[in-house]
Amino acid sequence: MYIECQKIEKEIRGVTVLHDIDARFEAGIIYGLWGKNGCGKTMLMRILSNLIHPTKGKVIVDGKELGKNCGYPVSIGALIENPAFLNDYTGFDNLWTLASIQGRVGPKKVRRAIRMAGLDPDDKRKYRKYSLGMKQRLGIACAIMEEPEIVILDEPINAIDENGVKQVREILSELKERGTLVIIACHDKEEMSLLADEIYLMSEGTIVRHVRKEEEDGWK
Amino acid sequence: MKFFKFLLYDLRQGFRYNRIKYAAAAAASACTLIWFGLSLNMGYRYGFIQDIPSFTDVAVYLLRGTPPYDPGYGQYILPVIWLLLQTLLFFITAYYPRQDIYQFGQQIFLRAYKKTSWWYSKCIWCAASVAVFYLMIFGVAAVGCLCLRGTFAPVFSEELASYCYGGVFSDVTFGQLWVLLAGLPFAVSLGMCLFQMMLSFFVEPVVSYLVVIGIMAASTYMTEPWMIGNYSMVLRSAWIRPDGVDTGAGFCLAAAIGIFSIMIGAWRMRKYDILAKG
Repeated sequence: MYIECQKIEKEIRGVTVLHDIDARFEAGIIYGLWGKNGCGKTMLMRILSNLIHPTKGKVIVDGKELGKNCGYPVSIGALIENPAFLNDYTGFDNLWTLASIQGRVGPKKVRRAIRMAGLDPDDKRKYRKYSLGMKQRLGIACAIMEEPEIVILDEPINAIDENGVKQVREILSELKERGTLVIIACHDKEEMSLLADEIYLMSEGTIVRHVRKEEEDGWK
Repeated sequence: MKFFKFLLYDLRQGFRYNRIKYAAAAAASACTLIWFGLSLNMGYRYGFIQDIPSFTDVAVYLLRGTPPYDPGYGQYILPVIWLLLQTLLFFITAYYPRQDIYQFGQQIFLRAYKKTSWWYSKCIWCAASVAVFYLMIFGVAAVGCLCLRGTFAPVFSEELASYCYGGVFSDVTFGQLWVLLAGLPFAVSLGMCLFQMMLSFFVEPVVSYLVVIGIMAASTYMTEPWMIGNYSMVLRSAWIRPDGVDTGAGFCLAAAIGIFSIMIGAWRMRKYDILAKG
């Protein structure tokens, strides 16, 4: 499994938000997108999950061009910006509603994902009663519950406490062991250096550098 | 199988999202029938009418619209209840698709493989919403008929039509009347709701809502065959009056608008950018 961005450019209402994006992501590696607010990390994540379309260039997923040969990557879990679930449902009911669409996993795996994210799958509270941190955790559980081949997490440790950050690290570790292609965005440089194996540094809508973990000086 | 699951999600969520609006439409219809009942009581008391209302009479009262308006002759009468019901129906189908796509629906999208599957599911949801809306109106009409101690026999009263709103139904059969009550309004409403839904992916939902309401309101003023709202008013049918609009043309126009909207919507969805907020 790989994703390749070829000369990606994105224009929105006359403003170029991404340009000259060339990158390759391979399975079994955790990639980080790091940069200031507004540098284009989330936009790139939206393009990789085909929620938006590049103005120029293409995204190739395992040899197939997104938006041409295939609609969405076949197996993807994503948490991009703020998670949004159904207010009148519990956390488990929300995820089960989604999981039952593809029918790839049963309730056991959904419950396991919720537990891994640090929540109680038997919690009867409706989503509207969740704190910000709980909503974020549910979003992470949603992204990983179907054991997808690609996981995209935008600022996964936002609003999460220290314990939660540890759990996120464990989740990412398990995903990597399973051979999942993981892409995360994180504004915390220290945390990024712990979580990611390779980092794409972004600035003003483009990738300025690509560094690997062993080249620690590259992003310090 | 997957598409069926989207559809179940849309049917469940769409109706949950709109339950208060349906209740408002039912309440508006009920209030109208209270007025109808008061008018009938007055008519019975002073001996103007003798016929007992039928279920068909009650339904016609709700969906009759207004006779064609000729600027050079007669007074323009705004069909308040007809326009109110249209307004509520378009409000029901206006916001849910756009609301969904920027919230929980994004996760649905990721599991859909194709954006067009999401769109077609919304189209079916739209059709189901329109059907439920009209069933609800007929349900209120049925309750109203019971309250008025009317009859469910397959009859309608020219006397009551003439007394309540000056309607003349001498040349129309019972079957034709129900085509004008149920078939054509459903087709017109469905076509326009699909058009509204499609338009909301080009402009803001409030703008698409105002456009369709504008078209329906303008139709009350102009009895032109290309003003689709005319076909939704019982009193403007050529089966009722010689200067009315043709029923067959109404079905064709509604179908054309609906099919056009579905196709354009599917094309639009293929390249639609789902950004953070609508």
